[in-house]
Amino acid sequence: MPVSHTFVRGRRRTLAILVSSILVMISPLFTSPAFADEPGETTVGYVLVQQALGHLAHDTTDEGIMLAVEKVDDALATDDKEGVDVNQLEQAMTALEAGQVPQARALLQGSIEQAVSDLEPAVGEETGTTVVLMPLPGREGLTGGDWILLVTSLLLVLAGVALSWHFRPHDNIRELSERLGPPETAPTGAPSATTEVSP
Amino acid sequence: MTAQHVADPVPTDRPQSRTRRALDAIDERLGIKALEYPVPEHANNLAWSLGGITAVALAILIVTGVILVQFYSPTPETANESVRRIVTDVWAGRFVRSLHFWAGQAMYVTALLHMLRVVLTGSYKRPREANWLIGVAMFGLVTLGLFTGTVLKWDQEGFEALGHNIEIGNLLGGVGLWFSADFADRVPILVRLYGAHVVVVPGLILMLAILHGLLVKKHRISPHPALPTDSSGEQASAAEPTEPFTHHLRRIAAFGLTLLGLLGILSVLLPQGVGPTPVAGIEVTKPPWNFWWIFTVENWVGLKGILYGEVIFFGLLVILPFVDRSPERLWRRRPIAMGFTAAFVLVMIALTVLVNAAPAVQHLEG
Repeated sequence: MPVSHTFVRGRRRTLAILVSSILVMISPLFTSPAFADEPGETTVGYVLVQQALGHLAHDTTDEGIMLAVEKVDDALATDDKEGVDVNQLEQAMTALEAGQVPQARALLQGSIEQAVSDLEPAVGEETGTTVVLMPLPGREGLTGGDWILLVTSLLLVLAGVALSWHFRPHDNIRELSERLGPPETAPTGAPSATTEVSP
Repeated sequence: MTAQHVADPVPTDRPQSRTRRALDAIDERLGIKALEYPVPEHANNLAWSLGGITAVALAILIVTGVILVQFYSPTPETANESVRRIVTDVWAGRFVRSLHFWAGQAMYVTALLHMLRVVLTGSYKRPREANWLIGVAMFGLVTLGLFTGTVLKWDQEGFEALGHNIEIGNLLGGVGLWFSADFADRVPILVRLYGAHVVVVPGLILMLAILHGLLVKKHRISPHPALPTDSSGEQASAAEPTEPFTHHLRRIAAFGLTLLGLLGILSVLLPQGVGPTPVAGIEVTKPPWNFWWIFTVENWVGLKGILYGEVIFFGLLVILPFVDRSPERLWRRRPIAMGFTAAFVLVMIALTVLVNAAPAVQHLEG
């Protein structure tokens, strides 16, 4: 079958568009790291204490404690300490430096009790957080109910697989292909196809 | 075998059972037998049933979601606590919540696999381009559902995800106004995202799913590229055996049962916990794995990377049927399209994996 010039031109154009698309897509791979703008840190005392609590809730290793210490330092240094109990905050710092995380958490939370109790209901993107809770783990061991659910789910899987097998098509693709023959090449001469082969 | 596997008519000379008469009475009023139209036999393969399996995942999401909204409180002060109560105090709450989470993951994965199958078999080609676009839109909504669901937990991970959402809204200017907190600054944005998660997103998915199904009916099941087609090349050959569409639904139900069981096992063995209550101004979490690829881009080029990445990702999917207009459907005869697809998939996988090599970078304003 002769290949028309328009077809070849179209294929080239298709190839060019596809290659350009790929290049655009992977272009970030070749750019130098361009991190976001330096974030502007808050100076609100109770928020800084909450940030310290957030670090401790996320990471109780030395790194997490170090980040929390930085935030408590900032909270002690800021002018805006409204509703913050500085005495408790200083005790919390001492506890943190001694590696006593649970005690530090309790003191930090206690130090902002007044500040968070004065908060208005959250609007917009405010967190509404008054107490920074620790993560709740997904599972702490299988209960009797869990075992019932597990066995029931397993039975559903078995039933589903059995039914899928029972309802399988009479012929698989290879059998159909052997019986019906191989697929033809695209019918470029067919009425509906000629219009779609733009190349 | 060339016989058409269509249900045999019930013999009229044999007395009918009460069940049969009851079913006939129901059918007379609801027209259920209209679903028994013939479809090509290859439609009952697993690969051709992925769209149906995605619909099953959606059904599980809706049922579990209806249960969860009875106990979820969508205000910033109470949201995280209410999720904890669902997990610890509500009977089977941990299981239902985890089932909802895993069904969302299943929907994302099966939708992706369905799209990949459509690409590999050229099923997006004429006359099915519009249905491909509807599918792409539905996938976008699934992603949005995952995103809003992540925020609704109202833990540190969800709050940081929201922060990105707001920043992107700000980047978009007027177009992104709805996504910004300024749109309704006296209403917690969590409440608005809750509305989007339980009404707007699933409502749009359902509407588009109905349209998707109607267009599948109109254009008929796409031909298998390894089998002969009719003269137009757009439909399965008349020589291919058919089965009633109800058999297709029956097999999807069987696959769906398997999926439900698998999700149940995952929900018991890998239930979802809840992160700490959110704190503004720190960035200490990674997004769910579905967004890792875009997180890598963001680490490299900043917040704008999210915008560029998403535009490129969905832009490529949208233009696909208009760029690849060759009528060929067999992958061996489509080297350019297949090469492009392979590159696309590899880049996505690479970006996803690279998230673990990315340094922790603060993207949001403190």
